[in-house]
Amino acid sequence: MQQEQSRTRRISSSRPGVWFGLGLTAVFMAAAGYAVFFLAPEERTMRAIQRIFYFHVTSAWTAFIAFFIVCIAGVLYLVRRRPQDDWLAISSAEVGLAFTSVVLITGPIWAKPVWGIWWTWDARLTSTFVLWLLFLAYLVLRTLVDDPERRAVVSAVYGIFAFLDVPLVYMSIRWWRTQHPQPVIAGGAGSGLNPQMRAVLFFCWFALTALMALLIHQRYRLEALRHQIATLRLLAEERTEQHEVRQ
Amino acid sequence: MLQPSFVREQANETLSALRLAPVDPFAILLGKIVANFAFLGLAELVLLPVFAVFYNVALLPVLPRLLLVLALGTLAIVIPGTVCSAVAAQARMREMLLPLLLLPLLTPVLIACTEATAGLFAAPPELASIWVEFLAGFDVIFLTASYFVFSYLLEE
Repeated sequence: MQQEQSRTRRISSSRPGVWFGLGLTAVFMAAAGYAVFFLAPEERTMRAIQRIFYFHVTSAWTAFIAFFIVCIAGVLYLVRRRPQDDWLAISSAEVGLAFTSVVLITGPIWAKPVWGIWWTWDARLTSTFVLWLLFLAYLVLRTLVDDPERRAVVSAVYGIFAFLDVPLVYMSIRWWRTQHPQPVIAGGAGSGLNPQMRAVLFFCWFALTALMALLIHQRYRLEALRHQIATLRLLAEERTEQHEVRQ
Repeated sequence: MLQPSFVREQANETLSALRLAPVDPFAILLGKIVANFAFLGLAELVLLPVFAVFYNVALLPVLPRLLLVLALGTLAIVIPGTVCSAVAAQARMREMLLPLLLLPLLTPVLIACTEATAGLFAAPPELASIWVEFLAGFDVIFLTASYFVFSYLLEE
């Protein structure tokens, strides 16, 4: 019981921290929006359309971090068996899927005026789509297992497999075909970005990573509260039973 | 094909017997993988001549190399397939869940197999070593990962 009380206090006491994080992320996101539209230089051929790149590319990077967290949390759960690791895994998977959806939505918006088509089965488009499918399957799997511990174990295994699959999907499709613009960051010779554009890009990534951390934290708290309600309900049932026995 | 691997064990309640057996859990997985490999491989061997006739391709000159691709590809389907069947067996709606889990996971395998086979049936038949290496790498990576995670899937 005492343990329960301390857990209640710990969860509700994180509130000011949450507001601080929310405010900070809002400032970062607003600054990123300002930087993208007013500070970043206009691209020569694509004009304003190019500005979606700052959120498109950085969302992809951020989603990748989130899925990496899913994999690590899965390994940690299998090794340590702390339910907290499972909460982290589900939170990151959902947030990562949201960011991947952003990538898949902003991509066609850019592609239609620049390529003239909404979608093509190019290496990176296809692998992002497969990535999206993989973690969608992960979430579906979670809804179909009732026992929390079984759910944590099987989804940890699938999360690890899904993450291992990501580079393989990417390599296979890259050797198969490619149309997407070559990497401009850490790409080969002839690639590169105006230093100001680069600064804006990395700032956007920073802001989105902060947003990701905030969302994961909120989702994690939700999971923790759910767990708490379940334990309290169990406790209440036990109490009622004891009471009835005594009467 | 992969579905009954663990569902049948659960229905007949023989999974507990397997858990009690004094063997490494990985040995159980390997047994399942070998059985699934044999079934899928047999089906492929039956279908191969049929489709060679349908599509009018010369099978015999490339047969040894084609068998190599088939063996590696079948293994690449069966390894994650067997593990996912153990995952799906613990969920509701498992018949629907398994393909959903497996299909995105197997995209690289399907691409590698089709590309390798297409190369074999091209005008001068050529087997791109990159796809064979890719399939072999896929097999090794997922077999290793299964080795580490499978014992957790067998827990009660």
